[in-house]
Parts: sequence; structure tokens; C-alpha cells
Amino acid sequence: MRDWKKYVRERLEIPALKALRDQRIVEELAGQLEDLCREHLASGMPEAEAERLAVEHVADWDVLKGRIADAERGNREPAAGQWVEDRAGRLERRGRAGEVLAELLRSLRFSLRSARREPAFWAVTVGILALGIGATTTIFSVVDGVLLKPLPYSRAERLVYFHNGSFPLPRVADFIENTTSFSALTGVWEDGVDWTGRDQPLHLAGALVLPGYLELFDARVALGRSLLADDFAGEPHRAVLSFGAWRDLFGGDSGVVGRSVTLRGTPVEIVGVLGREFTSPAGLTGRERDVFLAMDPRWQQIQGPGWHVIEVYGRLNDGVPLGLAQSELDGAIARLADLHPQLHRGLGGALKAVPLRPLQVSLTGGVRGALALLLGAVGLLLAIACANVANLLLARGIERQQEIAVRSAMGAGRLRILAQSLVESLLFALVGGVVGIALALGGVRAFELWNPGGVPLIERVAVDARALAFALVVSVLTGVVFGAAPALQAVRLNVSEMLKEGGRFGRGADRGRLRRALVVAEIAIAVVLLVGAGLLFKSFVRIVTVSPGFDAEHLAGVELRMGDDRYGEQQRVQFVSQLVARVRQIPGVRSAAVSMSVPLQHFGNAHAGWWNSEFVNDEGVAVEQSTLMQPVTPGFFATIGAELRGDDLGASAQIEVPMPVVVSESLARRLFGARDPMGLVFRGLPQRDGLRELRVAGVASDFHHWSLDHAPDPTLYMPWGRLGAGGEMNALSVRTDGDPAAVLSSLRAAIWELDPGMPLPDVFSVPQRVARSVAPRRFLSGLLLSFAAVALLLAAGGIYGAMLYTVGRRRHELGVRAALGADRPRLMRMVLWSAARVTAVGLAIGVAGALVSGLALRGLLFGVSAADPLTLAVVALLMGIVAMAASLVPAWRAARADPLEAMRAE
Amino acid sequence: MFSPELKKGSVELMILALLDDRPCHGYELGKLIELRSGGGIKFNVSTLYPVLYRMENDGWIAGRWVERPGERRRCHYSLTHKGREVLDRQRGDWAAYVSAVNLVIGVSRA
Repeated sequence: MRDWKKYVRERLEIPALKALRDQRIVEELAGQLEDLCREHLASGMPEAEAERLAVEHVADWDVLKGRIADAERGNREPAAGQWVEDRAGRLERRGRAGEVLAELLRSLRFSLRSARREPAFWAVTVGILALGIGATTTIFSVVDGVLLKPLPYSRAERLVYFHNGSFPLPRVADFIENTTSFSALTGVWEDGVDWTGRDQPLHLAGALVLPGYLELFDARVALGRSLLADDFAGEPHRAVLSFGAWRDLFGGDSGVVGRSVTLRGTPVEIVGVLGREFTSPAGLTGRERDVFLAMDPRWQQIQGPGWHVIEVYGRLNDGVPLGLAQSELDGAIARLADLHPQLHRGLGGALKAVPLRPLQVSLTGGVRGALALLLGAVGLLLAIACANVANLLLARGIERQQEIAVRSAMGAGRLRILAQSLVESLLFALVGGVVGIALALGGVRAFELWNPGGVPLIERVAVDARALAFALVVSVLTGVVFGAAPALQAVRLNVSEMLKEGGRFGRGADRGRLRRALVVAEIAIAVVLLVGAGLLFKSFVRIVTVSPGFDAEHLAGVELRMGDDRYGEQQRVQFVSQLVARVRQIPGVRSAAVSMSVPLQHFGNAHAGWWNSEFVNDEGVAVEQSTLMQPVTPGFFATIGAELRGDDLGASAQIEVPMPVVVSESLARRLFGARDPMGLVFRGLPQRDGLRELRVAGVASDFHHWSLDHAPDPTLYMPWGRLGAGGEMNALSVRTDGDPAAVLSSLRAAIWELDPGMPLPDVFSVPQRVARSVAPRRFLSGLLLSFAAVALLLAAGGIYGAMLYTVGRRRHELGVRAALGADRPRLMRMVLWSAARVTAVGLAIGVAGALVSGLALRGLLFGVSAADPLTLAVVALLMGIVAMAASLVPAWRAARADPLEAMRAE
Repeated sequence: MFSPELKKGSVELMILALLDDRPCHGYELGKLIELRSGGGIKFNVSTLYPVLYRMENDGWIAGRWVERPGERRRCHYSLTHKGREVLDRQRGDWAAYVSAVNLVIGVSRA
């Protein structure tokens, strides 16, 4: 008879069973097999046959093992476990690959069971990972939609934009005729057009397009036809509507094709409606045009070299790289500069270079920096989350060492333990990823809701398949990253060492070092994030506390659309004098004046206006200075609340010779140096026979005309009646006693009282415009501050966990010290000191990292240096305080170390 | 033979009922089930043993090692108080279940 106990013992190996029970199970099973065998023997069967029949009772020892293990865990519903065991057992018989799969399957089941055993641990770990993965996926979705996904045009990567603003029509013609790199080259003048001749005048977003524009962007028509060659002749007189304008303005009436409407004061025939799917480049940045008018390239009205209005787009020929097209363009400009110097040469004769940009880059240029910054920031946040979870797993690893040691002793290979550890990490990461995706869905929605506008292509942002793939990859990577440390720890566990130590594990100096390194990394990354957020926040505070140089609080503005089609110079003068008088009667209005533009009216577009740069000062010295020309009516400076020394260009200024002007302080310095400019006569404002003679009648303070973070430009103010009334670009400034938003509707009514046909697209309160101009900074700094706050919290958690673990590990030593007479404050100091050392190292690395990463921030800062000592000091102090606070509880525990416990342990 | 699912649903009840008569050891329980079912129900060791182990863990039965002269020691299982309660409940449930199933499938009591 065979030794049945030996037979069973060799086949049975059950983790997590107590040795005594193990013994009993072996004996009981062996006994039953032996009884079976004896029964067969008694019936006269040969011994070999009897043994075979007994052995057949246990066909699959793994299944049996699984069932016993389930019974051991009190699992009354072993179906799932058994299913896994059955499958694993079958897989194992299929060779090496099968064994690995079987091991993965078992590990998976083991991990799932551990989730049931330790729900709190799982919740915390998954929560941290979900936060990291969710934030990263959110920002990735935004970056993907805005920067990475190709534009909705065929072969969009070959579309280029002529950077550097807008060009005069003849210059565009030069580009078209003298380059061969482009299969198409065309342009557009995006201009507001007034639709009149109906009950209420309406201001439309218009686009005057050159031939080929609609085709370049794959426009198809839903109704009627597109613009044809014949349409591009003479005054703009044929147009197609965008789908949105057709739906919203014409109620989707299919009879609109062939109708004539009055645009820009002339009749224009609508020949078609564009398809719903068409989006122009302007539309991609949220400024879709309502109507596209055909513009004759030889249109006389804008042939002058001063009309910088055409934006140029092209499609590169196949096989022509951007660089080649650029050098061709540069060469063409150099050649043409001699032929048309007024088009291709700037002041002083320098060539006006035109950089080519891929269309997508040019559309998103303004937000690239900020988005890259956010992506970097969430990357750091994710890194902290990983370090934190790695630390949590290491800490739990200590508690699990006994289990792992027993399993090793029972023959579980390193592969098995490594697999177990990694599978669990991946499971954490994937569950964290799933929750993170849910967070990202909300995050993207919140981003769309709260972003202050100005983010191009934002409607393409979505948590789609690409974002899901990204989240999956990030989850797996994080799983591997934070799982590596605990997995290696598990494999490197020295079993015999541990078993000898009799259950007091974890003396490994390695592990302590690893955990400290993780905490140092967390602190360092948190410091980098805190410094970045701090610098941006300080920039934001600096900007909102910038003195605008005028009284922004009590200012309202109105764009006055007095187009050439409806107004001559005389009518404008008459209208403005009536308007100013009428507006002053509105209750709550203190004064009003007209100028070319109101401060902050055009924030974000620091070019809108009339510029001149040629001057000759009172001593006959030519001065070149790009200067904003601002024709103003009397009372302008008092209305906007700017400081003025001298005369405000009152009634007599309309006729005096030389023409009286007001110079801004910066222009005065540039023209006259330190001399008192009052009364000096200089020359500027080119007219046909050269520069005009001008007399300085006053000096105005510099103020922020474009936005709070745009330095004031040198400005020349002259009488509106002499030089402003001739132009179409005019605006009304109104000074109020209280909130300017309260008078906006009265302003509209007053204007329509005088001219019922005037469209009013822009009636605004300047304080609201100030708020809008700083909103992107507020958003960015707010977002970064919240990331930094989460990072701080995670780092604090990391320190807390690490110190608690250290104290736990040194409990024995602390007890001995207490027994030897160390008092409580001394024990507390010991722990705090050790926390302080870790924090100091993290701070040092973090500050160094912040100084380096600050370089990337420079473009986004305002009035604060990337190495701002105050910000660094505040962050270091904050981090130090938080670290010490997080160490207090562990220190207090250390102070309560019990000498008796230490004795007993010996 | 009967399907494993069918047997699985009743194995605990059979063991409890057998132990209600007298304490038995594991091998004996397997044999008794086979005998009393007229050879219709057989369990092999790898099925029966984990069930016993779990029932003991749950406190329905208690194992005691008994040594007799000339024999190796065996673990004898007996019903605990808790096990008796479970048996009463399961017997009632079983009878009700069987008659309900019979009503459904149209088997009349002979």
C-alpha cells in the first residue's frame, strides 16, 4: 500500500492555510483515499487497480485546492472561484503560455477578493488614481481637440496661413502671381457688414472672399449655387449665406436664393446657402461669418497700399514642404520690393517678411502655451498620484509580507508573486481609469462651461475614442509605474530571513529609502506646481491691480457705425454733435465724447485703429515711432478720466493753424526728450504734400488702451472734427455716475432716436470688458491653483503615511528609548526632525525644478519674474508647515511608545 | 447519473440528514449516500471533502478525531445544534420545493 499522506501532501498546496489545519486536511483526505483503496482490495481487486480507482477520485488537485481555499474563506458561493480554478487548471495543462495565463487569472481573482476585504484601502487608492487620470484625460481631451485633431478640411495639413496680420489687396496679388509652391492661394476680408433696408438694422459678420476661398475650405452648397467666376467682378454684389445665418436670419426659407438684400449700402444678390457642415477658419475660432460676398481682386475701393485687410490662405503643392514655400516667398518679396517698395518694404526700407504657418498652428497659437502648461501640470499631478499610491502599496506590502513569505515558502515562484503584485496594480489603475474617465466627462463639460472664451476649436473637445484610448494607456502606464516598487519589494523579500524574524518584518533599509525617495519626489513635484500656480496667481493679481490710467469704473462705450454708404463727413459732424448733447441728458450720465475707439473696446486686438510713425520734431530731427492716432471731440479726456495738462482740443482747435494736438507722455518723451513739450511745433500726420505742422496743446497721461497687460502705446490726439469725421471708425465714450451697465439701454434708445437705421453691434460697459480681458488669466491661474492644492494634499498624505510607517517600524526602538528614559518631547522631536530632513530635500529639489520650469512660464507671467523670491519663499514656508503638520500625529504616536511593549516583544 | 448541479443543491442536506442518525467519518458518508440512493448518487472525495470542510467551518457539523485499537485515527463528524436547525429548515424547504417542482412538471404522487 502506498503512503497516501505523502501522496496527498505532494499534491496539495494551499496558500493562507494555517499549518495545523493543513496537517488535518492532508490526514483526512489521505484517510478517505486509503479507505477507498482498501474497499477495492477487499473485493479482490489487484493492488495497482485499486490504487488507480482511488486516485481517480481526485481528478484535478487544483480544483480541489480551490474548493478547500473557498471553504476556508467561508465563501458559500464558490461558483466564480471554482470557475476560475477550473479554467486555470485547464490552461495550465497547455504548456508555458497557459501557465502564465492561469497565473494571471488567479491573480485577478485574488485581487478582486482583496477589494472586498479592504474596501477603504481600495477606495482611497482608486480615488487618488481617478483624480490623476481624470485630470490628465480632461486636459488631454482639450489639447487633442484644439491642437492635435486635424482641421475639418481635406488634407488639412497642407493648408497654410500667411502670418503677420492682414495685407493690402495689391500685395496679395503679388503673392499669387509670383509663387508656384501653392496649388491655391486666396484671401478674405473679414469685416462687419450692415444689413439695412429692413425694420431693424442688423449688423452681420461678413466675409469678402477672393476667388478660390470657398473651394479651399471644401465649402459645398445646400441650396442654390456657390460663387462663380462671373460673381467676382466690380463692387461686391453676389453672396452666399452660411447655413446658420440662413436658418436664424431667414428662418430657413428656401426662397432666399435669388433675393436681393442691402449690404454695405448696396444691393447684393444671394445666390446660395452653404452646407451645414461648412466651417470657415474664422468659424473654428468661434467667429463664423454670416455671409460670404464675392470680392473682385481688382476692386478699386481697396487698391491703396494702406488697406491692410486681406488675410491670406494657401494650399501647398504636393511634395512641397513648408520651408521650401517659405524660401520661395522670401525670394519673391525680395525681388518685388524694388518694383513695389510701398507694398513690400517697411519704414526705413527693411523688407516686410511674411512667415508661413500651418493653418492649425496659426489658429491655436494664442492658447498653445497655456494648454501645454496645463498638460504639463496635470502630468505632474499624475506623477504625485502615482508616488502616493506606490507609497500606499508599499505600506500595505509590509502587512502582507507574512502572506507573501508563506506563499514563497510553499513554493510560489517569483514569477507568480511578481504577477500577483503587478496584476493588482493594473487592476487599481484600470478601475481608477474608469472612474477617471467619468471624472473627465464632467471635467471637459466644466472646462467648456467655465473657460472664459477665446479657446479656438473648443467645440471639437470631447471625451471620445481617442481620449478613452489615452486614458487606457495612461492607466496601464501608471499601473506599471506605481506597481513596480511594490512588486520588486515583494520579489526581493528574503523568505528565510523573515520567517526567522518571527513575524517582525520590514527591517529592510532598502524599503525605507524607497519610501523616503517617493515622499521626496512628491514634495518636490508639489513645490514645482505650487510655485507655477503661485506665479500665475501673482500675475493675475498684478494685472487686476494695474491702474488702467483712466477711470474704467464709470465708463461705457458704443461703436458708432456711420458707414460711407449712409454718412458723409458733414452728416457725421452733425450726428455726433446732436448725439453728445442728447446723451448728456440721460440721467446718470456725466459726460460724453466721440473718438476713434474707446479704451478696451478692442481688447485682444491691439492693432485695430489708425497708425502713423513718421514725425519730425521741433528741432528738425526725423523720428520714427509707431503711434496710435486718436481723433477726439472736446471733453474726451474728462469723459474717460485720463489726466490732461493743457488744452482739450475745444472748439477753437477746429480752425487753428498749426493744428493743435495732444500728445501722450510717452510720445512727448520720444519726440522731445526731457524738454517741456507744451507749445512746441513739430510735424506729423502725412498728407499729399508731406507732413502737417502740429502744435502741442496738451499732454495726456499714458493709459492702457488695449488691455491691462498691454503696455500703453504712444498716442497722438487731434481734433475729431478735422481728422475723425472723415472716417467710418468711430465710437462714443460715456462717463456715468454709477455702474455704466445701467445706462446701456438708454444709450441705444438715444441713438435710435436720432438714427433708427444704425446697427449697434457693440454697446458695452468698460468694467465688464476689463473683467473679460483678465478672465483667461483668472481661469488659468485658478485651474493651476486647484491642481497645486490637490498636489499639496497628496504630498501631505504621503508624508503622513511615510512617518506613520516609520514610527510603526521603529516602535520597538522607540519603546527601548522610552524605557531608557527618553521623555516624550524628545521622542516627538526625533520624528519631526526626520520628517524635516525629508521635507528639506524635497524642497531643495522642488525649488530647483521650479526655477527650471519657470522658464516655460515666462510668456504667461505679468509683472513678476519666473524666479520671484517671494513666491518661492511663500511656497517653501507653506510646504514646510504642511509637512510638519502632517507629521504631528505620527510624532505624537512615537511619543506614546510603550516601554513595556518593547520588553514583551523581546 | 444525475448532473453535478442537481447533486450540488442537495449534498449539504443529505450530509446533515445522515449525521442526524449518528456520527460518521468522511468515507462512511460517501458510502452511505451511495447505498441509500441505491447507487444513484455518488460523490467522489474531491467533491465531498470540501463540502464537509466548509460545513465544519460554518459550525453546522463538528469533527472529532477518534482512535480505535488496530485502526488509524479517523475524523468523526457529528451534527451541532446549529446544524440541526439548518437541517430542519432545509428539510422543510426541500419538501416544499420538490412538491412545487412536481406541480409544475406534472408528476403526480403515486
